[in-house]
Amino acid sequence: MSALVYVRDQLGNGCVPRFDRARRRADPRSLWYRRNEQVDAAVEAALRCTEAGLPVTVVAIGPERVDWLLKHYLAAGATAAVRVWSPDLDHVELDDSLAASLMEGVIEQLRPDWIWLGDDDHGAVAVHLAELTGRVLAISVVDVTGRGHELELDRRLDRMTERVRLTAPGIIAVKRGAALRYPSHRDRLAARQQAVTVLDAGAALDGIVHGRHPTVTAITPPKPPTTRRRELSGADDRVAELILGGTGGGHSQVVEDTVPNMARLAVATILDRVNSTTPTNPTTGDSP
Amino acid sequence: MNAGDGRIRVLIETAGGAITPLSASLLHLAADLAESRDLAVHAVMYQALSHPHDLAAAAGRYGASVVAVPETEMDAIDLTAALVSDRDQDPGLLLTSATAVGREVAARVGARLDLPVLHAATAVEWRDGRLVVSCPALDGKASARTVIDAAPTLGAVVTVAEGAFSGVEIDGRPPARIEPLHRAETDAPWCPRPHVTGRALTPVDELGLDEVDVVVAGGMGLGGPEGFSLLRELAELLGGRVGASRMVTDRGWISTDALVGQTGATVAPSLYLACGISGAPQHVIGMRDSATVIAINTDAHAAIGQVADVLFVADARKLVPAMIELIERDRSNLAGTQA
Ligand SMILES: Cc1cc2nc3c(=O)[nH]c(=O)nc-3n(C[C@H](O)[C@H](O)[C@H](O)COP(=O)(O)OP(=O)(O)OC[C@H]3O[C@@H](n4cnc5c(N)ncnc54)[C@H](O)[C@@H]3O)c2cc1C
Repeated sequence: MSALVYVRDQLGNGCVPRFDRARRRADPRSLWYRRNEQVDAAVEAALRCTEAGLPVTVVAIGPERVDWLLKHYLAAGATAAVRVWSPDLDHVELDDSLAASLMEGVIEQLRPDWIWLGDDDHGAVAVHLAELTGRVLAISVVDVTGRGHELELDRRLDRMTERVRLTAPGIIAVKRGAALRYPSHRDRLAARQQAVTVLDAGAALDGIVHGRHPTVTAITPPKPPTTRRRELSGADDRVAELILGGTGGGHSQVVEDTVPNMARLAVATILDRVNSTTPTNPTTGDSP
Repeated sequence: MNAGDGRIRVLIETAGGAITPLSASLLHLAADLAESRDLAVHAVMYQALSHPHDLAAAAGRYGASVVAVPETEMDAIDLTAALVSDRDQDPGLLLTSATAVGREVAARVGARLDLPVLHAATAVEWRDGRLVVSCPALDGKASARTVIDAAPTLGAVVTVAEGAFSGVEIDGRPPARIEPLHRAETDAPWCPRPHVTGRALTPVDELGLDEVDVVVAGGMGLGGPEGFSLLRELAELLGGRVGASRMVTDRGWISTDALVGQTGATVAPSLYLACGISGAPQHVIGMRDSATVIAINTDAHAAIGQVADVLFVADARKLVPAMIELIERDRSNLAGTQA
């Protein structure tokens, strides 16, 4: 029973990209990276669900820069690392379907029983892979039990957990799970010596990129969130004024009053917000 | 696309028989986009309903002219097959919410019909006859704008996350026409599905901080671990979970599972209540996308005021118990009337 984990890193929390608008990209010198929690959880799940001695290969798409990530997962217990790259990828947008198409090439070569991914943004690479390979898929996975050919998974749907059984070959996108094991110093040193296999994506790209969808036309720093919900039903006037008056942009409504008055206003404001999203049981439609 | 023959399809979800706020916001966005181009808005349900007429009336008020309802619940694979079954028609625009089902259907339909799929859109608008979609890029540190040609035909899939748009009902709009959503012969017989062995409502305390609608967070202003017992009580009453600042998790007043911010969870609930939290940038980075932020702080000029909709200048240790009492009284009055 072999496993392949598609891994990627993500921008550091405090990283502030500098934008090169003419080239529609961020200046690479302004970027720094950290590990992605969901990918960590996927690697850990793959290590736990694969029998000892069987291969767990971590695969990343990217330039030499991403080797640090592959080496970290090697140190944590992955048995091999593959990096897919072509300088041509510098000039195209690596969207979900392109990432899936490149991964498909690796999957054809390695033929893993299980493919693991972090369900970090949209789970979309996993879905595209399922469409390309015809494997059974589970996204939004929060717990995995079992080992080998058959696994039991908990998938988190909207406020509901669904338990599913998957039989290999399959694709699993992990949203949450156990923390990645901490590699020892010795394992880190050993991983440094391990080679990363580099696969040239050039040939695959020729076939894939031609006739692709519209690409990004502009990239800018995100706007501060201004899209507060604006509809209010049944709230009293002062509450409506409080919520609608707040812009979230440095102009909050400041209330100084007696404790009972503030409690009344705070509760009315809170209940107005909470009642518009009262949790319900999606299977029965009943409130819990 | 000729005027009148195009459509925007919106995958909608319900809770307790009512359209969820996120689906309502999708319908409203679709109605806005459709209005200027003379397009029709078709709502598509995947859950079966005992009272489809109520849903049709609500979908109509949000701007849908048709609502397609299945006889029995469909999963993402059935739904994809149903949505791609009329390939001879223009694909149009498909809007889905960024829920587990919405995300899976969006990517499957995009792959099957070879359409661009844009995730977690923050703006969707027409410009010079083309559809312009803005989405987060670079792990949320940038916004990327994609332009999609609408001629000769429009074809795109867009997912939308909670809080990006709002749904406004317009009275006087006619109910949507109910159509059956037929199970289509799948065009992907190779597509196996997982074997579902059980389903259960997830208890709130098992949900991650980033999954709940209400986060009641506390900081040093609570004065000690006992302040968090109050917050737990309030969170329980509101069906939410307790969050915390780093200073308090470092002191062990509450476990690090509750940590919000740069080194903890990033949350975007409907309501974030910050009690005795100063609003340091490392904390704010993890909660600034919350739909409504209410702060309680003794300092009227605390930095949390920069991101809060409302700042109550008060001692949290006094205001929170008063709030708990009011909510409990409100609930018992309600229970009394219902009995
Ligand atoms: C590298 C790094 C990473 C960090 N990561 C995080 C992180 O992930 N999350 C995080 O939260 N912090 C993080 N921090 C710490 C952060 O900088 C702040 O120190 C921390 O958020 C402050 O916590 P606080 O608001 O609870 O405390 P304080 O800053 O001490 O604020 C307490 C507030 O309570 C108010 N107050 C006092 N008494 C009362 C009362 N009775 N009622 C109501 N209000 C009262 C005060 O006016 C004040 O505004 C990080 C720091 C560093 C350097």
